[in-house]
Amino acid sequence: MKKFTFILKYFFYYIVGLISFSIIAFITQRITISLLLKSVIDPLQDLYNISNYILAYSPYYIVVYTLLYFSILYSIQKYDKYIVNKLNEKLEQVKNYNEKK
Amino acid sequence: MGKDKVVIATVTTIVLSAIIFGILMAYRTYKLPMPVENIDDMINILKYDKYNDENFRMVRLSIYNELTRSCKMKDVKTGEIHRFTKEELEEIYNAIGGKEAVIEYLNSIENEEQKRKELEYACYTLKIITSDELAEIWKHR
Repeated sequence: MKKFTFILKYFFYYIVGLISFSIIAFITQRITISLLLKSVIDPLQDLYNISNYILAYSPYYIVVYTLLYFSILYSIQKYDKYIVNKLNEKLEQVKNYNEKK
Repeated sequence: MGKDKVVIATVTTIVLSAIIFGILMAYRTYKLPMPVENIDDMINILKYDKYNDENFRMVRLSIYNELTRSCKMKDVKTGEIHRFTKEELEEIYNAIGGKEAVIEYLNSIENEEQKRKELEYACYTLKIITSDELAEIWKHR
């Protein structure tokens, strides 16, 4: 049950992150392409074509976000281990100091 | 670095990565080969004007401008990609007559209503002349 909750929590973070990442990337993409083409952004037209955009770009967004998400998780895990080791070292030092006393 | 700082660093990484990824995707889309039904037919259309139509010259120039972005054409049926050399592009540009020929045509239109329509079409739809050029041509009507 605990493991299930843990997975569910990370899946929720993944989905929220994916949606945020896609929205930011898509807006940046539209702005950049309109600057390159010197054309005007039409939000209504973009909304009308949203299904086409999702079909065309979603695989790229999902792959890139998944790689980013797991690399962030890996980095955080490494950082956690580093912090725990550092704390253990300090704890050991305090223990030794107290024993000498 | 506390828990809050880890969250801030993670969110910042995601936002910055999304912005960089969006810019890269836009650049990739911009540089995609021009999709066509048949490469040879399209080259013939660009090089030879069968109808000697000035309006069609504007469309050809617009296609040429689109082609210069990637310098590549992709056959949507076979997936074949044709890469254009500088010489080939120059040959196409000369065959079209260049921007000068289009400006000359737009200058030569006497009917004011038609001139306005053609100028708007060239500037806002085909994007082959700038708004400064449009104003300049309109001034000399």
